[in-house]
Amino acid sequence: MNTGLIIFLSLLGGLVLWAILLYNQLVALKNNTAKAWSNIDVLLKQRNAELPKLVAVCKEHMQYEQATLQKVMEARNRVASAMQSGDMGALGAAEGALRIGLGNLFAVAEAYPELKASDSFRHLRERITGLEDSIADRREFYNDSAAINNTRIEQFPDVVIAKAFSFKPFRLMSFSAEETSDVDVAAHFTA
Amino acid sequence: MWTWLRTLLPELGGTGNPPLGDRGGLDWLQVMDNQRIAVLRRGGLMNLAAAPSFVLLWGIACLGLFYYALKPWLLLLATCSLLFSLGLFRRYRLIADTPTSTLSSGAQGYVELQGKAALPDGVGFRGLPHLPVTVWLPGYVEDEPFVLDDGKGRCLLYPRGAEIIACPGDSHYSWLNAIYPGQTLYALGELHTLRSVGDSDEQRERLAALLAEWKSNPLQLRRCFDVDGNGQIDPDEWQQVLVAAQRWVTDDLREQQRAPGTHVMDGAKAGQLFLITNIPPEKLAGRYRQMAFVHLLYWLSCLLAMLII
Repeated sequence: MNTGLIIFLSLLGGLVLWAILLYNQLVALKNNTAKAWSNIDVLLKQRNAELPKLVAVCKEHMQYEQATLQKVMEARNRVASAMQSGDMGALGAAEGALRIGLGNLFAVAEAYPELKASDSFRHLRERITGLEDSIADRREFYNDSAAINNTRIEQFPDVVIAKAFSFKPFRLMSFSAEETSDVDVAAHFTA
Repeated sequence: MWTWLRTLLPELGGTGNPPLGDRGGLDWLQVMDNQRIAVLRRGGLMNLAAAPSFVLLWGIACLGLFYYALKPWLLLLATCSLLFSLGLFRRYRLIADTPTSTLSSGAQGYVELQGKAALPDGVGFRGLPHLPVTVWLPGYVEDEPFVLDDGKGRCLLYPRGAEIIACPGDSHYSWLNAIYPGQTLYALGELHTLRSVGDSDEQRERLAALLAEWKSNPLQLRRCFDVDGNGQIDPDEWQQVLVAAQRWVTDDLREQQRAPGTHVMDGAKAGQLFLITNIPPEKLAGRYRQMAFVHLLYWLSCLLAMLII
């Protein structure tokens, strides 16, 4: 066989193998990011299942804090609907509101010694706090996975494969503005 | 002593002469030789291709074939270089593109973990006598699980089927490739968490055990469930007992399932890499990237050489 033809075929083979490798890597990245999201999804569902129990326990003792409890339930429902629709922006905002609502609820609960002493409340509080910590860790992991995926599909030469096979970027799960904004400590003292 | 060591060193069993020296010490040369083969075996072909000495020999072989104008062999080496380059590049990308997970979050799936190596609970010593304690020693203790502790949780690594690259520790023997307790460990693979399943069989068994326990205390049973106060548990009241026991068991199982499980890494899905190493990931990824580039150059050089011949 002609040497030139052999070299041409070898170069072509190398190029094809390289393209296959890049494609497989992008598929693996996509699947890993999707898996990272499902890791969060599981915990969000578990936490959302616990919240009505917490609110029910609180209702027994906190007759004058209906607004706080209602805010928590509203935020929970917003999280649930954002999860269903897969709207990452709405989910981030709803998660932020829920965290603030829960923070308020736990702060207000300090004024109710009976509630604080309740085994159910203590147990649910620990459980929800634990789930929140795990959600935060997993969100970080998801964001890392999504950022790597998004960078790869925009880099050359991966962008060629990504465009050809319609690989889409993943949206990062970010905190809402109110959660990341600086806390005005002075305002708390002057109020 | 030799009998015990013989069970530990099956590779040395057929030599006829015990590797232990007359003075009761280990035959160090035998240990080193035995370990060298195991290191190559567990590291795999791609890690051999990433070794600087191998790359140098490979280059010399390419030059020799060019000098003697052996075209078919040059083509063979070129093809191998291409495959090495792609394999090493894939490894580099896997390390660079997999985010680090913490064991406290327990994110399931293909992840990388970083932490300290440790022996599993209840294991005091592992390795060879006259050597420091090791968690993994190629050629001797290769398939026993060990622990990776990232400070927030512990994960049990099952090294069977893993590609393991161990370099000698700074504070230990400079020639001994092993993983020691306390060394920083990097693992890449499929993480999953084992929890109590609580299937219907277990539920049934627990229910039966609970009812037997309650029946053994009839006074307490009547106090709780004898609603009409006739001194015995009627069929209707017995239904209430069953419902209460069922609820009790279900709650108990639910609590059990919520309890932290055991993190395990014992493989990777098809096409992915299950890697355990005590080399820092940045250094390893850098080595893979450089050697992938060198093999790519070899491939192109061999093709160019074929054109010149």
